[in-house]
Amino acid sequence: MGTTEPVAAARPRRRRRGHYTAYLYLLPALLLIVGITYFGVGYNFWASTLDWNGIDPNPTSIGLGNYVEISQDPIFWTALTNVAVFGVITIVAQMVIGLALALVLSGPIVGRAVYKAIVFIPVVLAPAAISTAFRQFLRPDGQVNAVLDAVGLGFLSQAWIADPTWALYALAAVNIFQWTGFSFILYQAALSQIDSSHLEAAQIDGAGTWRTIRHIIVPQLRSTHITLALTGVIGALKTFDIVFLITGGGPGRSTEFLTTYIYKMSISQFHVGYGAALSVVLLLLALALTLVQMRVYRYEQED
Amino acid sequence: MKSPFRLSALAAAGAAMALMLSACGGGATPTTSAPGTAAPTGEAPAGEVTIDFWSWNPDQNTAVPYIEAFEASHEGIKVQHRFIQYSDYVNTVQLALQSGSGPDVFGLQVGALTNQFAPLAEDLAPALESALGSDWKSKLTATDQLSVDGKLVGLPWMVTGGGLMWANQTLVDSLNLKVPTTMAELKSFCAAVKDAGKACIVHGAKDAWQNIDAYQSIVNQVSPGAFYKAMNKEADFSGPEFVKAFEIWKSFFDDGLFQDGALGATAYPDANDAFKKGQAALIIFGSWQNSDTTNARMAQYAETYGDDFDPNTIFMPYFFPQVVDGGKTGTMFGGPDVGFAVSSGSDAKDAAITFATWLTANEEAQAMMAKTVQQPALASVPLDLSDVKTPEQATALEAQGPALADMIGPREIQSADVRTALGDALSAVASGQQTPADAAAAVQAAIAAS
Repeated sequence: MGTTEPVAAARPRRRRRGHYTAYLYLLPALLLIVGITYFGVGYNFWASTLDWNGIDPNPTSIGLGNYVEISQDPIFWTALTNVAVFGVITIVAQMVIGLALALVLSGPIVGRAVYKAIVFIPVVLAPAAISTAFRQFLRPDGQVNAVLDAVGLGFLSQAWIADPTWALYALAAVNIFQWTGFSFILYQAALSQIDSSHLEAAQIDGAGTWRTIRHIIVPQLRSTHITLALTGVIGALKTFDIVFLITGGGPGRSTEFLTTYIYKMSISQFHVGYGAALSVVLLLLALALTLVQMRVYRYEQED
Repeated sequence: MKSPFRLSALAAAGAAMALMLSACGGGATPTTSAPGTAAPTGEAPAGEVTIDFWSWNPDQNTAVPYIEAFEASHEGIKVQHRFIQYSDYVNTVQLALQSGSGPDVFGLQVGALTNQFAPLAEDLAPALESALGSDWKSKLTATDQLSVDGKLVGLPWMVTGGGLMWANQTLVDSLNLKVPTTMAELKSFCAAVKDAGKACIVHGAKDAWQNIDAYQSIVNQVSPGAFYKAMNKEADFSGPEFVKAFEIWKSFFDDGLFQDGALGATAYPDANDAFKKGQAALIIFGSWQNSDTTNARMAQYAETYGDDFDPNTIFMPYFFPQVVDGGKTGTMFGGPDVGFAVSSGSDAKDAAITFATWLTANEEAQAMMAKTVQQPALASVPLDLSDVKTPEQATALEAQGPALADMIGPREIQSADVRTALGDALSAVASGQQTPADAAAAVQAAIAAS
């Protein structure tokens, strides 16, 4: 680290003591992270090498056998596809709608504070409450179909969560409802940071509203786009509650997610080793996707 | 210089996530708080033993009278009950027993759960032998379903069976209809019920167990007993009888016998609530709902549902209608609804065994259950029909007697993997994602691999 630097060489003792103090400050957090988080990850990895029902005191070690089985498990691939479709839809929709709302509400609009609150409230609601409400809304005789009927779009009515064609999209819609407010808040904060002289310059140069948004505003919000994409990817991979409560992964396996599959394998089917291996795969996926996005972000910044 | 920091931050974020995920992966700590648990207060008298009793059935209200009666007749033993919702039950008990902080007496569902927990439980056969004599097997119902490799893992308490269909008789009568007994009658019945703006059979097809109940009722008519042979690998599940049963199952959806959107509904509370509130005429529930014929239960429902519920509603159990030409009706499948096991690691084993044995083999305890019109495991205790609302309901309950005493097979499937495969297959066939033949083959593959 900095030991070869001339300044450090001039006053070594004081510098070192400062180091120790800093480490001491870190200690509580370090103990917590290593003791709980890394231990949990390590234990999970160990469990993933076992053929274990979670009860037997003498589990059988099978090395990487669970991972081989996962690679040939059609349900795993179905779940992965579902998460990918869900992730792409929700991330794009939440960013686009969030940005649009932030732009609209950045103007002089009467009742702006009220609109802002309305957009943000779903973010703070418990997913369990949202799921329960949407299970009702999405029934064939529920409010979604009633609204469609009322606006003359009755032909679009569906048994949303009971139909394998629509169930995954219905879940995506629920997620968009819950998390768009989060994108909105971040975009709003970022918009307030944009130097207004850029906007004025664009207007003087004769750029219309659309061109200003497209070429001035959107590029300047790059770090917000990246943050939202990053949290969106991890959020999609982690999504469990709304799926488990609304469709339970069904009909059939049409809305199975990796998380719900891990739960079913570990709890309902007593394959704790296999479930642990699925968790490790999920963790690696999240890490890999995050790394890729960070790389892209840094690459763009260096540009 | 920056990247190691970034990487470690990332790793920490990832690790934190893994921890959250491991909560789903079976490595979780139990987070359930038990509403019925009170910390023991005051000092225990010398020589008093406290045993911990965990269950999902009975629940916190139902357990109280049993525990009071037991404690009154067993000085020196206190019972601390903890009710855990079934959705949290397996995980919580599993972790607690392994860490040594678990219950002394705990409930088990027959089938996969009993098989998995067998290594952690005491053999209770000797206790039954001293309580009931060497012929205890003939005095109790279906103890074989709670035996694993010759060890009696749990004691049966309440015996329940499927193969029934309940009618909201008040609604059916108000529509001037008759509860159907054949497929043809069922179809015209449903058309009439739907014309009146009500659902015909309300079904919670999101729940695999309710679908498996319906499928067993169907296949037991197509080919009686074949289902249980296939589960024991003595018959081929991809055979024509099973495919035919899948086709009939699908017709319940395609012909509109089930309500629209049934695949998105749960059995409890969705379907059950709709049925209780008079929004549907029929439901495929079994004898575990028998208390719905009693005044006591009607009073509870009035409290639960408020103005949505008419306490004078008559709920009537019928045998599953004949859905196959020439199909045999009147059969039931089932066994112990719950079995009580004693933990091998218990530090109050004798008291725990005394309590578990009392619940099952004591006439007073079993008579308390008979009063709720639940079939006692102890054969010598008859159903107590004194609180049943109408003589017609009493007759219908009595008609279950022979079927419950001679059940065609167990309701629960021994292998959790086979159970999952069958649940998936039924949902996939119902939603048109799989053909009946492919579905039957998929279940057979799971049986072969189990």
